[in-house]
Amino acid sequence: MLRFLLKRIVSLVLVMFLLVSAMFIALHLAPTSPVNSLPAAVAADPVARAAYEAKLGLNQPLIVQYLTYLKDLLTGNMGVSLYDDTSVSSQIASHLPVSLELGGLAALFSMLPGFLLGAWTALHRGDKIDSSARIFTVLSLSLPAYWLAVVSLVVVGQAFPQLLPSAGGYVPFLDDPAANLQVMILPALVLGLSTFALVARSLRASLVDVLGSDYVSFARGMGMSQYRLMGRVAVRNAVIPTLTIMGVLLGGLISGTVLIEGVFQIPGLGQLMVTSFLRADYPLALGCSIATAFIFLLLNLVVDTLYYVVDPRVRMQLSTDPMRLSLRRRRLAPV
Amino acid sequence: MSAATETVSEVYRDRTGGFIGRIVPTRLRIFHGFASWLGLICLGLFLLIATVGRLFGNPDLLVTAGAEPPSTSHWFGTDTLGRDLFARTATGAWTSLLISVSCIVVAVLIAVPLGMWAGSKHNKRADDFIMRGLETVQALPMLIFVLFVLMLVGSDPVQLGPFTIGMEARISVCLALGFVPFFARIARAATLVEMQEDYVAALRVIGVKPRYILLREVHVNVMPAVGVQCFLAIAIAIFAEGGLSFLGLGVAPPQATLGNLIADAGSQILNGLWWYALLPGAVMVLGILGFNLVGDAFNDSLLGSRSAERA
Repeated sequence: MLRFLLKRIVSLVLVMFLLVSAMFIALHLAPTSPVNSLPAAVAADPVARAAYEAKLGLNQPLIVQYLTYLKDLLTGNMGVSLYDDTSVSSQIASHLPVSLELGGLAALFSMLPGFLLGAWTALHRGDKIDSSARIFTVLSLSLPAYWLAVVSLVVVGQAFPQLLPSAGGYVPFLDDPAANLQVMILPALVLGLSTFALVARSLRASLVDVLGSDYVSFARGMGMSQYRLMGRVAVRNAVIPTLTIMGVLLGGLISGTVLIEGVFQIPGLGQLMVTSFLRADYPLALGCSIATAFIFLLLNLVVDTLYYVVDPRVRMQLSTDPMRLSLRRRRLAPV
Repeated sequence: MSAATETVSEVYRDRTGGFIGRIVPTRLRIFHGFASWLGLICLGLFLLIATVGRLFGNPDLLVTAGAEPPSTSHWFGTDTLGRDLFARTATGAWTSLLISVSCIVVAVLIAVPLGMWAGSKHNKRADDFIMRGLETVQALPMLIFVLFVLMLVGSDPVQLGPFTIGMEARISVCLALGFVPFFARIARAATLVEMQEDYVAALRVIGVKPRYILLREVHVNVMPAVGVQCFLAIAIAIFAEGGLSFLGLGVAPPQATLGNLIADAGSQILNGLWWYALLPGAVMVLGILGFNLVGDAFNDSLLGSRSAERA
C-alpha cells in the first residue's frame, strides 16, 4: 500500500513539474506579454518600458526567470497580480475554500442519489421507473450547467429569492453556516446534476452486467439474501467502472465551478480564474491554473487509492508487477 | 528479405491494391428503440434551425421597440434591444455547429496519427513520451486547458499571409487541442488491440512493411472506434464552445452564439424575460441531446461487444 502510494505521488509530482514548466515556458514564448496591456504612452517610452520589464523580471534570460519561478513556487510564492499588486497565493488561498465547499456539496448531492438510483434501476430493470430514469438521466447529461444556472435564477429566483447569493450577498461559511448553506444549495444542485446522471447511468450499466454473471447466480442459488448479495458481491464489483469515470466527473465538477460561480456571484477560485483570464492577468491566471491542476491530480490520486482499496485484483497485480502504474485510463474528455 | 517473401508481398499489393477489407456487417440497424429515434429527431431539428432557420430574419435588425414575448411574427420573441431572438438563436446555432464540427475535424487529424504512432510503438520511448505529454495536458480539466491556450493566443486578429484568422477559427483550433488527448487515447487503445490480431502478424510474416500495415490495414479498423466517438465529442464541443462564449472568452458579443445569448439573458435576469433565458438554451440542449443520443446509438450498434474490451 505504502509503496503504491509512494509511486503515485512521485508520478503526480512529475506531471505537476512538467505542467508547470510547459505552462510557464509557453506563456513566456507566446506573443502575449504584460507589456502589451500598458497604456500606450508608457509602452512607447523605452525607458519606462524597460523599468516595467525590470520590475517584473522580464529582462532576465528565460531560464533564470523559470528557475526563480520554480524556487518561489516551492516556497508558496506565485508572484503578484498585474491588476492590483496583491499576492497571487493569498488570493488563491482566500478563494479556494469557497470552490471546494461548492464542489464538495455538489459531489455529495450527486454521488449518493446517483448511486441509489443506479442500484434501484438495475434491480428493477425494464419497469416504468427505470425507463423514465433513463430519459431523465440522458436529458440531465445534456443540460449545460451554465444554462441551467440562468434558468434557475429566473424560475427559482423569483419564487424563493432568499436562496440566491445575489439577494443578500455571499456569506462566508465560518461567519454564518446556515446562511451560507442556504445560498449554496441551489448552485450545488445545478452543478451536481450531470454528475448525478453519469453516476446513475454508469452504476446501472455495470450492475446489470454483474447481476447477470455466474457468481451472482451462484451466490443467489446458495441462498444469500438480496441485501447481502447486493452489498457484499454485486455493488463491490459494479463500482469499479464507476471509479474509472471518476476522473471525468471530477473534471466536470471543476470546470462547472468555473462556469457557474459567476452566475451565482460566488467568490470562488473559478470566478477568480475567469476574471484573471479576462483581464489577461498572467501571474494570477498561471497561479489559478496550477492550483486547479494540483487539486485535480490530488483528487485523482484519492480515486486511484479507492480503486486499490475496492478491487483486490489491483493489489495482486501490483504485487506481481510493481511497475504497472497506470491502473486507470481516463476514457472521456473531462470537460 | 528473401525473394519468395518479396513476391508474396508484391502479390498482396497487386491483388488487393494494398488493402484487405475487414468483414463488416452491412445491414446494421443503427436506429432502434425510443432513445435513438428521439436523438435523431432532436438532431434533425437542431440542424434544421441552424441551417434553414438562419435564413428567416436578420439577427442584427432592430424589429421591435423593446423586449416582446414570443408571438406568431417573432417565434422566440425579441431581446431588450428589439432584435428577433429566433434569427439570433439560429445564427448562433450555426456558429456553434461550425466551430464544433471543425474543431472535431482538426482534433481527429492531429490525434489519430499521434495515437496510432504511440500504439504501434507500444512500450517504446515514443509511446512513453506521447503518453506522458497527454497526461500533462490532461492534468488540467479540458475547459481550463482551452482557456489557458486561448489566453496564450490572445484576442488580436492574426494575419497569416493573405488570410485573417478570425476568432471562430482560433476557438475551434484551441478547442481541438483540448480534444487531442481524448481521441489520441482512443486511437492508441484501438491500435493496441488491432496490433494483436492475426492479420497483422500474417502481413508481417509475408514481409509487408510495418508502415503499410499501419496506414492501410490497421488504420481502417481504428477509424470506426474514433468515428463513433465523434458524435459524443461534438456534443461536448457544443457545450464547451457555449461555455467559452458564456464566460466572455469566446466569439465577441455583437455576433450571436448560443453561449453569448445565454450569458446576455443571465445579465438581464431581473427583467423577467423568461423566453430569453429559456429558448436559446433549449435549442442548445436539443443539439447536445441529439448528438449524444445518436452517438450512443452508433456506439451500441457498431462497436457493441467490442467497445467493452477497449476499456
